[in-house]
Amino acid sequence: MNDDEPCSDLSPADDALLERVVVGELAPDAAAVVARAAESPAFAAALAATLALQGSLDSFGELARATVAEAAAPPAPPAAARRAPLVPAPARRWLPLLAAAALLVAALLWPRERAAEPAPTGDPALLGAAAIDFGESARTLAAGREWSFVHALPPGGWYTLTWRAPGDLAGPPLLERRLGAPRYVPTAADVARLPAGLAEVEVRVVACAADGALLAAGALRCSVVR
Amino acid sequence: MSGEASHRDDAALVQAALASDRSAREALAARLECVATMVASLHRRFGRPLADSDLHDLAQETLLKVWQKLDTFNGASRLETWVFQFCFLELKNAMRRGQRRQDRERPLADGADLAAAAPAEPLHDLERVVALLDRLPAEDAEWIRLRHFEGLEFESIAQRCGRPANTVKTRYHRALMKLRRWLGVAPLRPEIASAPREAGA
Repeated sequence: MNDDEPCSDLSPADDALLERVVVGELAPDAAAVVARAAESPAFAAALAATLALQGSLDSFGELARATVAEAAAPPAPPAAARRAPLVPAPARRWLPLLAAAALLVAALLWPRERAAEPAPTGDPALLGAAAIDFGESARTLAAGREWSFVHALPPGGWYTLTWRAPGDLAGPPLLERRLGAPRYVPTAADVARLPAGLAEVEVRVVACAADGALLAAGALRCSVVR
Repeated sequence: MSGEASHRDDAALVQAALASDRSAREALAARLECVATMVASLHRRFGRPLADSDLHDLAQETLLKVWQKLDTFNGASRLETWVFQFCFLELKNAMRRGQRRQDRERPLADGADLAAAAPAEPLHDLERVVALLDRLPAEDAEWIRLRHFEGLEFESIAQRCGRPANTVKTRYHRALMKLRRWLGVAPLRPEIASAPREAGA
């Protein structure tokens, strides 16, 4: 497939007529177009297929514009929220996802000077980062209970784990640990550092290679068991 | 701010983020929070075919793909429109994987005809169309996106790209013809297209 391959199997005159239709200079039901379609099955087929293709592209464009507009819509004002105190179930299901996605973005954008304790070696590796696959054990934080996730760390690499209150991306972390393996056993002292009454925390994990390059990142919310 | 200026700003933001500008990264991170929302929105529009847990993973995977391709964003469209294509393609891929899994798990009745049971393919699979755009010369693909995804007139596209409108129109037409050929689009074979429609057909 290259740029020089023929684009049309129509005669130059038919191709020119078709071009006028697809760029909107002639309506598909213009007399000249209808007459030519009646005379030439090949032209009729090309016209139908091209209009269908344009229709598909338009459909995609409409879907894109509607979805982008929806994503850009501001959240409901508090007054509206008060009028509808019960969050619909589907929206409720999405709250953790939105929070986790925001955390993932934050993890990917983690300032290099914090993640890379050896001299940072430039950022391109950031774009090759992969998601960390969390297992079930990572969903609970309890003293003495191993907390692990699935990831292959190369020799010399490390993980930085940071726990924060849900939704608090900006404040100081409640707990921060650097690990050499994808497992961690919280101590009672670790759990005690989390504010009493905090039932859930959000954790982000950043995996770095020995030279400080970011290998992977992930975030999730886990339950605190005291 | 005009749409064009906004797109240029988006490209500058991405370039600054890639160049390790911390404030640009933070701003970009905020903009990319739209990924989860878009995936959720599309999922709803497609009838919620995936489990919530799968959707969570999908949003993460999509976000990573966006990051991996950020250096290809050239500001031809708004950042969110560019991101939308990733959300769409990743969701469609996940839906296809889910469908295949279901098909494997569903026992076939004796003599069942797989082909007959398959859902009818749409005239143009949107997913294929969008994926094929990347195989066009970059400028041609950009003009198709501006025309159909951003809804711009040819004159506006020409102005934005600094090309004569007639050039844009001709190249657009040629690009569409290429897409049509690559898609193998002959939904109406000549003899069918010209045949009179039969009663009840």
